[in-house]
Order: sequence, then C-alpha cells, then structure tokens
Amino acid sequence: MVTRNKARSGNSFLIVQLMLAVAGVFGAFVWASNFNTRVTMPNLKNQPRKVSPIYDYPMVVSDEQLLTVLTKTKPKFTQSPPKTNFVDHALRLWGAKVKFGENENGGAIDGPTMRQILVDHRKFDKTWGEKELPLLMDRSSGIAVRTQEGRSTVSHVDHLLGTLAEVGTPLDYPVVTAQRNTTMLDLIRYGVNSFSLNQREYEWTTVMLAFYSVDAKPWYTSEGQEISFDSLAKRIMRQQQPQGVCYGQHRLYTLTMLLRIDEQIEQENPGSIGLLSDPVHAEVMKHMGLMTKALYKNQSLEGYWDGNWPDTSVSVPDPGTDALSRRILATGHTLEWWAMAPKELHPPRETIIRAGQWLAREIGAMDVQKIQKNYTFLTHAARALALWRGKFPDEHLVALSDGNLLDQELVIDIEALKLDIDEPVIVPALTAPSVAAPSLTGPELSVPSLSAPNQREAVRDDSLDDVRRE
Amino acid sequence: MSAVGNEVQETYRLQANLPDWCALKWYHAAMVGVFVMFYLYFSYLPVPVLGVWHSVWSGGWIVNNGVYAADPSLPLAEGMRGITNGWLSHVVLHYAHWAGGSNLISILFAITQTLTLCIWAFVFVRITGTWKAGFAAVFCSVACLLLVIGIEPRTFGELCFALTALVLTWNINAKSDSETGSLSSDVNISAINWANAKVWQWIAIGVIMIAWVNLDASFVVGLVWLACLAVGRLVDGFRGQNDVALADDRELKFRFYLFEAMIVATLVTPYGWDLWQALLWWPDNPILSKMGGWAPTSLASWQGAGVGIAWMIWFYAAKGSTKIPAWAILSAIVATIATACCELTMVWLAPTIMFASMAMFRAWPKSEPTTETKVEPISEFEDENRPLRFAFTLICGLFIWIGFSLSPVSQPLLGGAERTHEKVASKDAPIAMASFMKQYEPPKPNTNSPNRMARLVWAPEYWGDWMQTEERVIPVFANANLRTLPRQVQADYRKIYKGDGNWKRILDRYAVTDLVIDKKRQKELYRDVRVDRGVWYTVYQDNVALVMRRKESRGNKK
Repeated sequence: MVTRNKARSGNSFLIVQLMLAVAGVFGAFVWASNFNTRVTMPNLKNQPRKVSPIYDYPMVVSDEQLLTVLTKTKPKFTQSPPKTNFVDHALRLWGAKVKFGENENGGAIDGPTMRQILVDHRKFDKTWGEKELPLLMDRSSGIAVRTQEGRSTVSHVDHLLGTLAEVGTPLDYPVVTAQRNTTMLDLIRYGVNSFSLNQREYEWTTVMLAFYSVDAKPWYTSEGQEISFDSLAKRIMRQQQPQGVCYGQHRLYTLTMLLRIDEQIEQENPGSIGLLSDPVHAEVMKHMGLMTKALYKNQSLEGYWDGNWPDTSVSVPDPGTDALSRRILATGHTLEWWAMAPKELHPPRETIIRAGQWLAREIGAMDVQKIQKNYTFLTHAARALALWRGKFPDEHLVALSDGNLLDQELVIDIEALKLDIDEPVIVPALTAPSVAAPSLTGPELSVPSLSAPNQREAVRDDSLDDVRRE
Repeated sequence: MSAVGNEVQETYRLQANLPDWCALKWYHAAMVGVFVMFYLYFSYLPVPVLGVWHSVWSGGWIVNNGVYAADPSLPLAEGMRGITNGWLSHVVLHYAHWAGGSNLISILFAITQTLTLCIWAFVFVRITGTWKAGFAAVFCSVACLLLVIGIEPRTFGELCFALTALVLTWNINAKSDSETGSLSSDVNISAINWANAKVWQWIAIGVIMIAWVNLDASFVVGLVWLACLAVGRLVDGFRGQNDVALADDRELKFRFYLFEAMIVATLVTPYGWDLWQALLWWPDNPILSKMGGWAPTSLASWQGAGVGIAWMIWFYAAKGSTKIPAWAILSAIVATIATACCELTMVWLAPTIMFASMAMFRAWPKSEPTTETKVEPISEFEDENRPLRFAFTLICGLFIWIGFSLSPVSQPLLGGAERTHEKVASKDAPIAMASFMKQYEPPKPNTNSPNRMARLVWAPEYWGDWMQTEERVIPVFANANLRTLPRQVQADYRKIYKGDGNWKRILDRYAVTDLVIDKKRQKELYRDVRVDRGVWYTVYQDNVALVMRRKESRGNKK
C-alpha cells in the first residue's frame, strides 16, 4: 500500500514537471513571438496623400515665363533610350496622367508611359532591349530598384518610390517584374525592409512613407531599430549642410513634406499628434528657419544660390561642375521646398522673386543641349516655378493651353479646373512664347528695394521673424 | 655523549606542536606555489583598455540615475532595445574605482580570480577526496588564460559559478567513501547529494543566484548547469542507473525543486520579468551578445587545445568510473556546443567538464587515498625520526608570504609607493588623451548656423569609455557596447576604423564632430589624415592618440 502511494506520488511529480516543462516551452514560444514579431512597416493607406501647392505669386514667374520653362522641360529626350534617371525625374515633374499628344518616338513621353517604363518590366525591356538587366529585381523581401548602376538605373536611393508616391500611385498599382506580376506594395516593402536609419540616402524613403502614412506609429527596421517619423526627422536634421545629395536640399524638401503631412493628419484626425510630436515639430521649424535665414543671407546679387549656400565664405563642394548647373541645382531645389513650406519659413518675398526670376531667365536662355545636360536639375526648377503659381506642372499646361493667363487671377482655385485625377490630362502641343519678365510690383505686394542681400549685415537676431520683418 | 647531556638535549629540543593535518606534503606546496604564481600574474595583469572603464563610469551613472535600457553614451543606438547587463558589477567597480582607483580595481581582479581558483580546487578536492585534484582547477585557469584579460562582470559570474558548485557539493562525504572503498551506494558515488541539503544550503544557493543574475548575464550558465543536473538524474532514472526507482527518487525531486527555485530567484532584479523577456529576444538577444555572441572557437587555438584536453581528462575519468552519470555527459556536451559557437564560453566549459570528470573520478573503484587516509598516526619514535615533516607546511607559508609581499596588497602594510594609474593600466591606454577629453570644452556651436551640430565623438570602441565621467557623458560613436548598435552603424564604424577610402563621407553622414585616432592600430587612417585633413583640425596629439575636430561652418555671416 505504502509502495503504491509512493509510486503514485512519484508519478504525479513527474507529470507535474512534464506539464511545467511543456507549459514553460509553449509559453516562452508564444510570449517570444509576441515581442519578437514586431511591426516592420508603418501603417500605410492605399492611396497616397496629395500635398498641393499653397501659394500663387505671379511675381516669382509670369505665365509666359512658366510656359517657356515647362515647354523646355517636357520629357523629350535626344538620347534613345532615355536615361531611366531622366524618366524618373520627368515623371515626378509631370505626373502620371499628363498626355502631350506628341509622337512618342522623338516627342515628349506621356505620363502613363513614363510610369510604365519604370514599373512594368515588359515596357522597360522594350525600351532598353533584352540585354539590359531589369530595373526591378525580385528579392525575398520585395522588389528592389537598381540604383546608381548605369544609364538604365535610377540615381537616388528610393527616389523612384518617392516619385511614384508623389504622382499618386496606389499601393495596389500593378507592377511587373521579369519574374512575376505584383503591386506597388512590394516595391515599398523592399524599401522599408532594407532601410537603415543611417544609410547613404534616407530622404526619399522618408518622403514615400510620409505620403502613404496613416499615423505616427513607429515600426522596426530589419536591424531591430525602432523608427518613427520623429526619428527620421531628427536624422535628417543631424547632417551638416550642404553635405549630401543635391547640396542637402533633398533633406529640406523632405522635412517640408513631413510638416505638411503632419498638418494634414492633424486636420483629418483632430486631437491626434499628426506625423511628428510637438517637440520635434518645433525642432524642425527652428531648423528650417535657420536654413531659410542662411539662404536669405547668402543669396547672390543675381538671385541664385550655389553649392556653398549655407556659407559663401567657403568654396563650393564640387568646383569641377559647371557653374550654371550648380546654381540651377541649388536655386531650383530651394524654391521647390519653399513653395511647399509654411509661410513662417519663407524669406522676404523679394528673395523668392529674385530667385524665381533668375531661374526663369536662365532656363529660358538655355538651348536643347544644355537642357538635356541639366535635365534632372531642371525638373526641380521647373516644378518649383510651377508650384509657386499654385498648381502642378501638368495642371498649368491645361490652363495655359486654354489661354487662361494666370496673371489675371492671382488666386487660382485648383478645384475649379475640375480635373478628374483618374483621367489623363490631355495637353495640346505647345510652343514657347517669347519671355517677358513681369514688373516687380503687384497688386498685393510691396516689394522692398532690391539691394544686395550680402550687404544686409544688420540682422543679428536668431528669430526668422526678424528677418522677415526686415 | 653522557646520559645527562642527552637529557638536557631532550628537554630543550624545539618541537612543532601542531596537529597532524598541518603536516603538508610536496603536492600541497606545489599547489600553493602555483596558486601564488597565478595570484601574482593576475595582480600585475594590466587593467585592460576595453570593458572595465565602461563599468566604472556607467556604474556611477546607474548610482545617480538608475539602470538604463539604452546606453546613454551611444546616441546611434537610439531605438534599439536593450537592458543593462551586470548592473551590479558596474556599481561595484564604480565604487572600487572611487575608493582606490585603478590600483584597487587591479587588486579586486586578482583576489576574485584567485578566490575562484581556490574554490574550484577545494570543490574538486572534496569530490575526489584527493588533494591532487586541486590541480584540475589550475587547468581551468590555464585553459582560459588568453580570455581573462581583466576584471569585468564575467569575473564575478565565474566566482558565483564556483560558489554554486561549492554549496552544491558541501554535504557530500568524501572521507567515508574513500575510507570504506565501498561505492555501492548511489548517493555515495554521486558528487551531488542535494536531497540531504541543509536549509542554509538552500538559502546560500538562492542568495548566490540572486547576486549572479544582477552581476552578470552568465547566470544563464548556472541555470543550464542546474537543469543538466536535474535532467541527467531523470535520464539515469529511466536508464535504471539509480539505486532507487524513479518514483521514489528524492534526489531527482530536489534537483528539480532547486532548478525551479533558482528560476524564481532570477526574477529578483530591477528588471523582473523583463529580464526573461530579454532572454527570449531574437535576433538581438542581449544575454547571448554579452556572453560573447557568435564567435566560433578555432580548433587550432589555445581554446581549441583546451577543449581537447578537457575531453581527454573526461574520457580518462569515464573509462575508470563505475558509473557515468547522465548529467556529466549532458553538461559536457552542452558546454562543448556552446564553446564551438562562442570561444568565450571556454571559461564555463573548463570548470564544467572538470567538475564532471572529478565526479567520475570519485566513482572509480579504487579511489586515490585522501590526505586524511594517508596521514597515519605517527608514533613518538617516528616523530623523532621525521624532524622535517612540517617542512612543506613552512614552504607553503613561505610561498604565501612571498605572494603577499610581492603583490600590491602588501603596500599598506609593508610600505612602498602605491601604483599609479599609468602603471596599472595597459601600455596602450590613452590616459593623457582621456584626461584631455574629459576637460576639453569644444567651441559652442553657433546657434545661428545652419550647421550647429550636436557633439558626436568617433573613437575606437576600446577607447569610447575612457573619456567618460559619470557627471558628463560624451556621446560617442561606439564603445564597449558596440554590438548594441544597428548593423549599418557597426559596418560604418569598421570602415572608419580601417581608414576606408570613404571615411570622410561616412563621418559627414553621421555628423561626427570629433575624431580620435589610435596611432598604432589605425595606421591607414592616421596616414590619410596626415595627407589630407579636409575639414578636420588637430586639437590634441601625443604618442598614442590624435584628436581632431571638425571645422564648424561659419554659416550666417554677421
């Protein structure tokens, strides 16, 4: 009897231990999967946001000037096949819906075609031939875009993703690789999975994610690092200017987009924190204010900036590059982010006008060869000028082709154009009119005297408001 | 000689009035000699450049601010999950440094290492019943000699492991086994008899585990070892190797209870459950990372040879043993697999396999005579004929005195100058540079500049902690916690370290403000810097290090 009891007690001990062990292992497995399976993508919406221009300043660029610039920067390339980098930039400038109505063999390439070249391997293959490696590469974590590997590839990390987001490509948009049919989401998935906070370029990944973002919830990189739009903004602000691609101006454009989308989300969900936390929002505003102040101080007499825009006492970082190219690059990018930035971040109106006029004049005077050489820089410049007139470039072409001179209406109601964004915008072929600069006085503006900014040494206050008051 | 003369001689003859157990043998003297040599070696091992200084400053930081999840001096690790491994060790080393500087840290290291060695020797002697087994502990030290470079949290972990083994084996009876030569009882031949453990043993082992879990991440070794002891006993039960039926086996139950109690003990940390959560983090497991991470042991190395010799001893012990307990097989295999994946695990493998081997030696049919059995009653006659029987005892005393007098511990008693920081630290320690960096106030960034940069110092990981003080934490690119950084940052760190052609651009990308170069190890980078300084200017230079600072862009002109 005693032996039987002992055996029973011993067996129950073993059973309990076994149960504990199984429960421990199972519990650990479940528990571990809870905190090891972390969110690797931010919350994304299918249709990307639209961040529209908010100013219409005819003083910056007149209708005629704008028409000239836009005509000259149509995606009409002398080289065949056109560099993928050019197509990528042209798509960003013109959008995916524009129709030029020109013969694509030598004429301007329509928006839908440009997008197809970039996201449909069949079209890419047709353009570049079978010998060329595909632009889109199948990877285990998504679809990679070949970058900086020659003429057939794009020039900036995730620039294509940023472009596709800005031209309104939804996540379920069909993407065709050499191996399979998939969607835009796979392109984004690869971009996010391979993203590292300290990678060579992080600006366009940030722009892309901000355009598809739903909220400010963080996610984790494949390195295990928690990322949020706050951390992205801080990372962008850390690097010195004008280091980085395009003299650091992409970073400023990205920060501007973060501010705008932050505002959008707050308006969509009153009470939410938007995309950025309040302290980081304030930090970004302060940072951008300092950038504006530096730009204001260092503008040339003619109105342009060069590669040494933060400090003209030092030489430009790339003295070997053609001076005009450098200046168009720096000035075009600057006007582009200012066109989208909140008014508090603007310099005095005169600074913008002088820059816009310089750009319009220089681009107007460029021949085809120069246009082709500087095409990617010019897309930023042309886009900037179009944005300063309150519309995207393709929308301007519609308006201008209808003979509605924008100067006559200082405030343009974009909605009034009643453009169906799902329908392609068909634009008749245009020829550039002769360029005539507008007078520097407008009905709503009182432009200060155009004294050389470099001589204005009196501003010593940190506050940008003081600069603007001056 | 006359009878009277003999009487007088008898009366005044010096006699050692000591108990018999004080009559030590040659092997005692040899062992003491070896231990003293180890003690002196540890005493004069330079305080390393890496590790200890991280503990010293972060211990102070913990005292002031509490334990941290992310290293406060590593801004590039922001967003990476982490815990403070070995926070108590950091605090101990901080106070040691505060009380006695580098000298006390060096002394603490020597004492802890030697104490660990002595405890293992004592445990092995108790298990086998022979003093010669103490040399097995020497093997443990020799096998890990290249891995032991200075005090760190692991040093305290090793001490805890030895203490755990000591408490675990405290109640086994070595004398009765060897005296009787009867090894029929399972309990007698086993090195562990936890079923008869006293209450104080339970308390002691619990306290040790609590200390261990707070001192170092290696507490996992203790848990795995205890698990092997429990599971091994279970396996033996299934194999019918034990004297008692599985259901009646008290030893089995108590080993499981012990393992479970120790799991509960590991919750007594500032992290509580979070520590267990961290144990399951993957792939960024901080415990495994602190244990050495993935660093396979090469067979053709000191450690590889150590593993081979350890297994030869194990097989030799197993060959003559009447019984090979399953835990001895299990623990040796687990330790070997772990060492194959990470060479640092050698410090745990050596005592684990030696312990298993000693347990099997204990089960040899003809056990070697113990000290007690060899020391037979000595008659007065024999005593007269062995006037030098305490000679080895005196030699042992001499060795200990020599060890004491030659070591820095004797300085307060015997006088002499205290060792300076420069003497205690290793030759390549950047003492002057660190002193400069601690006092150096970089020019304040121009708040109006678009390029006002937050300070970030790039220095080799082994110097990253040297410039820190608990009052002023300088943000560094990398330090002893390099592995907590994202992979991209680690890769970029290595590129800069090696003087990769793009090092300037990489420094730009991270907005590094200060660059510290190790002149001896970073020859490529040092050569590049001399050829083209770019935006960097020198703020400090000595034979060991070069400190450069980025020229700040003037930004807005005033």
